[in-house]
Order: sequence, then structure tokens, then C-alpha cells
Amino acid sequence: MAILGRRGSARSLRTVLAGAAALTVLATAACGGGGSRASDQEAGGPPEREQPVQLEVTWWGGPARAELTQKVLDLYTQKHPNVTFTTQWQGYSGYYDKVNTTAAGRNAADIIQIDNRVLREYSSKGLLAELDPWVGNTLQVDGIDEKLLGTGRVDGKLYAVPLAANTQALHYDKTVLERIGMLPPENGWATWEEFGTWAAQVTTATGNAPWAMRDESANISLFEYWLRQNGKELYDGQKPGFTAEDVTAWFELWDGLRKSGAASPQEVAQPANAGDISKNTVVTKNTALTFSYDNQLTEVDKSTDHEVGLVPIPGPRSGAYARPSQFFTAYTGGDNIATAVDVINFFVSDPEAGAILGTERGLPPNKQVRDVVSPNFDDQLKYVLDYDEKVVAEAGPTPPVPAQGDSQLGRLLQASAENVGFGRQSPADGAAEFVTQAAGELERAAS
Amino acid sequence: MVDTAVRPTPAAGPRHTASRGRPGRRKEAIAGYVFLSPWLLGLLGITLLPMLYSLYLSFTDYDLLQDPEWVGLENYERMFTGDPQFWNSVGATLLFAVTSVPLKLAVALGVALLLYRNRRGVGLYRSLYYVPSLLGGSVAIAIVWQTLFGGQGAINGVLAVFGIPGRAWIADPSFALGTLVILAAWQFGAPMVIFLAGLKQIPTEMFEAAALDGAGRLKQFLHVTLPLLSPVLFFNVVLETIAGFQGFTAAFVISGGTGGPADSTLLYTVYLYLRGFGDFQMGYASAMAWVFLIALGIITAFVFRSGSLWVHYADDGDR
Repeated sequence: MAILGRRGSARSLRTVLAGAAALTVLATAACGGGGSRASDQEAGGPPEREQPVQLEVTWWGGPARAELTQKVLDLYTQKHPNVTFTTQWQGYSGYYDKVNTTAAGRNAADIIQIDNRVLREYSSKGLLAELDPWVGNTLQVDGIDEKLLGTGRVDGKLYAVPLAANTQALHYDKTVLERIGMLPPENGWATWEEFGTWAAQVTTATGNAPWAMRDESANISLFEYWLRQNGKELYDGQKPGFTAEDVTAWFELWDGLRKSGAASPQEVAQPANAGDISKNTVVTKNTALTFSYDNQLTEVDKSTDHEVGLVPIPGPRSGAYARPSQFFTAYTGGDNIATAVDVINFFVSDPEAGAILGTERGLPPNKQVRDVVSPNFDDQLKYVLDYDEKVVAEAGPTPPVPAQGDSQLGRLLQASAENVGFGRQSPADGAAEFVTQAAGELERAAS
Repeated sequence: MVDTAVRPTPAAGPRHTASRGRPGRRKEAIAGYVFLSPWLLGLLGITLLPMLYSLYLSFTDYDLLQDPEWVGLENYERMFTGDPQFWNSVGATLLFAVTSVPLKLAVALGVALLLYRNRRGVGLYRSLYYVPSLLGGSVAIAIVWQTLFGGQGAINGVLAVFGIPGRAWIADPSFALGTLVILAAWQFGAPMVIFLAGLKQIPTEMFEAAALDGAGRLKQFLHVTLPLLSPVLFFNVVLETIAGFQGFTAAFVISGGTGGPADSTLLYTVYLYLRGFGDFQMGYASAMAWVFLIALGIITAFVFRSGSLWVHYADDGDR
């Protein structure tokens, strides 16, 4: 019974192996050439008005953002019928993988939405067109606050235009907290301890359904906020701006919050750690509060039948800053960079576009636009605007553009926080490991 | 499909060698190569050249956007001495392969034993049990899995009926890899079909003879079925081991592309992907791919060597 002779199977196996190997390697080696088309375009030149141009625009976000962005693009096409758009959007997790992959194939979108976490990396790798030649003609930036605009600069050169500004906030489930008669104080809590006591009472009142807050020790944005409250920054140039002691204190803070019931166990929190808004624990009704940004109220409110409100993060407001929630950037290999810049300008400087966009991405970055459109905001947008102006008035200075390797730092913090949260490591051990690895990755990323 | 998968290849050797060198045959050989050329070009252009290029890249620092920069063995050195996450991913992958492959094969063999006798409607069952394999590698199933095993998923709903407290299986580092193992085992269709074909080839007289000698069901299985099935089992072990080490889709989708919780589902291929396409470290990722290729080659060689100990070929005669 020779179902498979030895030789036969050896040979077929070799084929299988070769195929298998090819697949693994192909995945890493598929990175062909293809020259940049930008070289034959003049930097600072006028946008194309005669020939048809098709531009691809890509962003992360939810359905609400997709709808508004599409409306603005349609409006642009209406004004300049030669310019049409294709779009690609998805959730935040996996978004940069996609951008990186298309960039590797020299085939990235013409207009790419990014946040400050990758700005240094992308600009230093030549992915983003330098926009200074267009400033003053195609690109109008006078109305944008200099501090906010500065967040789009790397080493003095403008690579990214802030599409909107936002600031850190806690979202709370008003429906649940109203039911148990424990609406949060309007101006938040003076200290984390005060917050912890209050949150533990919430969890007791609801009987864990939902928890007051999720374990957010894996959230690098909230970690940054907390560092700033303690007079530190996430980065000191290309090095971590924190020590193992800081991280231990951070993990211990959350350990305490978990033990008192103020924060959920890590198993409830973990699915949200990747940062996708669809896993937001206020949306999934696992927690009554969660860390977020004020502008995301639009999307979160749309995703749940409960009413959602904003309250400042516990402790001093020095942790907060006026944050460029997203940038638009022009790809150096794009079909027509000048037109792409004009579209970007349309998003930030055109009052009609501003009226459509509202505060979904954040507050309009351009003051002139903000002044024109805000009187017509609906109640929810006005609420977000009020919150933002109140917090930003007391906010700390804007931190420098994050170091290269920022994405690795986020991933390392997540792994360590999860190890600590599940009790597989002590806060001190998790912190020591994180800091060592973080320093190594940052050093490598810069080399 | 079943038949072609297991039909013995006719011996092609001797006649061919006898006729080598005659001019008419050379023409035939050229024609052969011409017919072969689409495949050959594909092999060279799509497989071999990219492979060699990736070998070169593995000795460079390459971020996709700038030209590769030669760094010698630095990537390999860093992998083995300076990257705890690398060893973490090796551990997770080994654990995944060592648990999922035997479980999947056991389930496949078990179901094949149930289905190989001709009963009413057996064809339908065979098809039904094969369905998960058709769907298995897809992103959609990974998302279904995520929902089933989530904190408020169906699995916990079923457990609650029996009063067993559920947990967030996918969010808990002690269980997340386990759910992936179950998902892999659930896709037992392909090895099952191969087992079925193997079982069909065992002559029924063997069982009758064994029964006459007083062998019960278990003894028949251990002393007749298993030895005669061992070449097929061997084939399945080899294929599934390779597939097991290459698990990617489910781990990537279920962990939201992070390999979490706490890096527990950070399989080798997921980590390779994160390094290459998440961190722009293509040189390092290529080095990882080559270490993977070599390791998988060694593991497969071991499986082959072990074959001489337990694979029984009826036409070899008894050893």
C-alpha cells in the first residue's frame, strides 16, 4: 500500500517547503521600485486646473468621519470639476500598516492623514512633501495658531497641516451615571486619589455593570498626560523622558485603582488597548468612563444609544495640551502635489468645508474659519468647543514632535501593562523591562 | 480530488534514461522545457529572485523608502542577543504548533474514523465537516472567533447556562493562544479527507483476520489501522507542522494586529510582519524570515528522520 512512496513525499515536500518559504519571504521582499513622480513637479507651483486629476485620500476613523470627509471632497469636485477623488478609510488599528505597505510599493495615497506619532518617522524617510514652498500662495496658514501649526514642523520645515485641534478628556456615560445619581463634578477632580474614591463608589453602585473606568495603564497617551502632570515628558529628544521609577509609580497607580474597583480588571480593558474606537469601552458599555479626546464625542455619541459627556482628566491640567488631532500630508510620490496641497488648504481654510466638518476631527484649526462656523454649531458641537476652550486655557506647553520609534514604544508599554495587569509581573519588574526595551528601541530607531 | 491527492506516482525513471541522447528525444526535451517555461519563469521571477533579494536585505538596514545599507550580521546578532520580543515570539509559536498540530490531527483522525464506513448520508457529513477548512483561514472567521470568545460572547453564554463563570478568553494572556489552537483544530477538514482516503485503502480482510484472532476494536485500531495508516499520518504531520508554524491570519486579526494580550499571541509571523510593515525594519524582518526558513527546514528534517521509526510501509515488508 504505497499511498505515498518515501521519495514521492520527499519531493512533494520539498515543493511545499519551497512554496512556504517563498510566501514568507515574499511577504518581506515585495518591495519593488518605481520612481517618484514628484521629481518632474515644481515645488510651490499652482494647482492643476485644466487637466483631469484624480487624487487618492486616506484616513482612519469611523463612519461619521467618512461621511463628512466625502462631503467636503464632493464640494471640492463641484468647484473644480477636473479634480476627482478616490478614498480609503479604516479604523485606527492597522491603519499605519496599510500606509507603510502602500508607501513601500511607492503607491501611497496622494493625501494621507497622519497623527504626530509618525510625523518624525515619515518626514525623515522622505514620505511627506515639504509644504513651505506653497505657504502664502496655495496654502493659507495665517489663521492657524502658531503653536498648533508648529506641531506640523520637523526641524523647522512644515510637512503636515493640522486638520483640527483637540485635547484630552474623559468621556462619561451620562445615562448610567445619572441613573445612579453620580454625575461627575463639572470641573473634574483635583487629584487622582479623589477620582479613585469616586470611581470606586460608582463601581459599587452599578455592581460592576458597568465598571467606573477601564484599566488604562496600557494607554500611552494617558501615560504621557500623567507624566506631564508630574513635570516630565514622554520623550527627551530621542530618549525616553521617564525612568523605571516613574513607570513603576504608574503601574502601581493602576494596581490600586483595580484593587479598589475603580478600574476594571485588565481582561475587560484589553480589547480596547489597540485603540479602535469601535472597542471603546463606553461604546461597549463595559465602563462608565474612558480616556479619549474631546472631539471624539461625535463618533462615540453616534455609536451608543446612551448619552455621553466630557469631563477633564483628574489632577492638574498641566498634562493637557492643544493637540493636533490629525494632520493632512501630501505624499512625495503623489500624482499632483500642488493640487493635493490645494485640497488640504480647502479642508482647513474654506468656511464651507469647515461648516461641514464641524468638530468631528477636532476644532477647526483656522481661527477665521472657527469664528465663521461656530455660531451655527449645534448644541453638541458647542459643548465640545466650550470644553476645549476651558481646558486648553489652562493647558501645558505643546510637547515636541514624538521621537522616531514611537509606535514601538506604544506596543512595548501595552505588553508590559498587560503583563502587570494580569498579575504576571510585578509593577517594578514590568516597569524595568519596559524602560530597558524602550530605550533600546528608540536608540535603534534613530540610527 | 481525493483520488488525485493520494494516487501513487507511476515510476518514470528507467525508460527515460535509456533513451537519452537520441536527436528526436532532444526535440522532445526542448518542447518539454517550452511547456515548462511559464512555471519556470514564475519560479525564477516570483520565487527565487525575491528570495535571494531578501537574503541580501537580511544583511542590511532597510526601511523601504531609502536604499538598503549594508550592516553585515547585525540583524542576526540583534535577533539572538538583543531582542526579548523575538524569543517571546519563538516561544509562542512553538507552543502554538506543538499543541495545535496534534490536536488538529487527532480530531481529523477521529472524525475520519467515524465517517469512513458507508452509512446513509455519509457524503453529506463529509462535506459538512470539510466546510470549516474552506472558511478557516479567512479574516471573517477570525472575527467570528473574536466574537464567540469575547467577554460577552456566545461561549460564555453557553457556560452560563451550566453555571460556569465565563471569562474574556481572547483578552486573557493565559487563554488567548488556546482559542487560536481551538480555531486551528476546528479546521480539520483537509487532513480528515486525506485520512479518509488512507482508511479506504486498508483491506477489510485485515480487520476480519484480526477479529478472528480475537482482537477487539481498540486492538484492531492500534495494530491494524494505525500501522497501515502511518504513511498518511506522516504526510499529514509534515504538512500540518509546516502550516502550524506559519499561522498568521487568526492571530493577527484576533489580537487586533498587536499579538496581544501581553504578547501571548505574538506568533513569529505576526512579529515579523510588525517589524517589517509596522516599524519599517525590512532588513530585520528579512533576517527573521531566513531564520524562520532554516528553522522550519530543520524541524521538517527531524520529522522526516523520525519517520523511519514509526512509519510503516506495507510494500517494504516487515522490519
